[in-house]
Amino acid sequence: MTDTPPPLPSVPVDENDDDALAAELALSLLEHEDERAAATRLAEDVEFRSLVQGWQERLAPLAVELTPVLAPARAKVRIDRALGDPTPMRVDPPARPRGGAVRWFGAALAAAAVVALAMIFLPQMWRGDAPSTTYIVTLSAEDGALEFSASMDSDDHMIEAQMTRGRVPDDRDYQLWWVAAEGAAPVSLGLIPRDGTMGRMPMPEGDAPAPGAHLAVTEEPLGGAPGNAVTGPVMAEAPLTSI
Amino acid sequence: MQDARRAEVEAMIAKVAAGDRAAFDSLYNATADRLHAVCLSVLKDRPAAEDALQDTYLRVWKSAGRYSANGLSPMTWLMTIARNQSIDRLRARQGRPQAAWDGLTDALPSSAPNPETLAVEADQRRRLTACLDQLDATQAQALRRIYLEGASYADLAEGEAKPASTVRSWLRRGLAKLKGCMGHD
Repeated sequence: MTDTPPPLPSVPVDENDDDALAAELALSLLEHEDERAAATRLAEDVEFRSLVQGWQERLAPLAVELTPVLAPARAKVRIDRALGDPTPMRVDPPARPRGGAVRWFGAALAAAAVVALAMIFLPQMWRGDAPSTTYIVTLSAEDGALEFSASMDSDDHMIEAQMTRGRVPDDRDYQLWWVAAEGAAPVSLGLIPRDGTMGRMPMPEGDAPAPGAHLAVTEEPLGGAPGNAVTGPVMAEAPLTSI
Repeated sequence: MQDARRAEVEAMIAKVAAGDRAAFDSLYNATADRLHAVCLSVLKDRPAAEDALQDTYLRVWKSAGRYSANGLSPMTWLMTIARNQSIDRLRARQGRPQAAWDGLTDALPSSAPNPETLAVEADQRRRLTACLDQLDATQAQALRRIYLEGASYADLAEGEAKPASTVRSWLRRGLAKLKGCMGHD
């Protein structure tokens, strides 16, 4: 806040009071450098972390005082979509139909008249022995108006995506899809967020990154493709190829 | 929260950590209305609260595996995620810088279980209420505004027509008194 009155020197604040600092961090009262410095201490200072946890625990009952407010049903639908609804993931995944994705892709690409350019950076081989490998994929529309980037972690099978150029239309959503191989049905990975980065999402079970897989972004109705099947044009698409 | 209830929520989080979507649904059903209340209290805007709630549960899904390492009781963990997601959005709306941390202290496992986590939550709540009553009424009110509405020192200073540093010292005294009253550490 720019209109904050200047500090009065007659009212000293003890910057070395760790417990007060821990309370302020837990309460989100610190900003800028103060917050960064305190957050850094969390990672390094077990005592300090314990103080912060103590305050979180001590104050949490305040939230319990609030009267619960029915969460809108749409919120859960959006969460499920972001997590790859409705296919249950990691838990006994049903076999997805293979075959037919070429038709899907061909039709959608023709309809959208979009040719996608893909730039793939593979820091390491797909199935190397490294404990964790991050892959970055850029999906661009041919005219350059839209660009998305996705990164995948081969270790914990998480993916995150963001829009790096262009914007999502107000009345539509962009949806990210995973196509395991030519001929595989696309599986929703969730909606591209309108601002910032999509939270890390688990990849579909059993679909480790592999040559032949694609990522694609389609334009869909608000809230995502109904029935979890692609309905809109492909805006950008990128194959994953090992190098 | 009753002990049995607490154990139930902990069990759900453990299953979510293993990628169990059904357990995630159960956890959502058991807690979403309370976390939604937190989001609404901070953001005072339903669409924004819905977004924050979504971020909260995606974060829960992603972080459940690290829950047991952070030493917080289950509802504190969930409330903390919801509150921090909401405050991030509040700060963005106010043009203030984003938080430099995500509100979770799980970067490394705690050296020992926090004493607070051993307490029964209903008892915690009773003690907090009793100790807030021991504070200056305006201090207790300020603390509620900070925790439940994301008020900043600057917001409080404006309300009290006092310098922010004065408000800061005053609130810190209240916090020290509160901790003394609650009798830990």
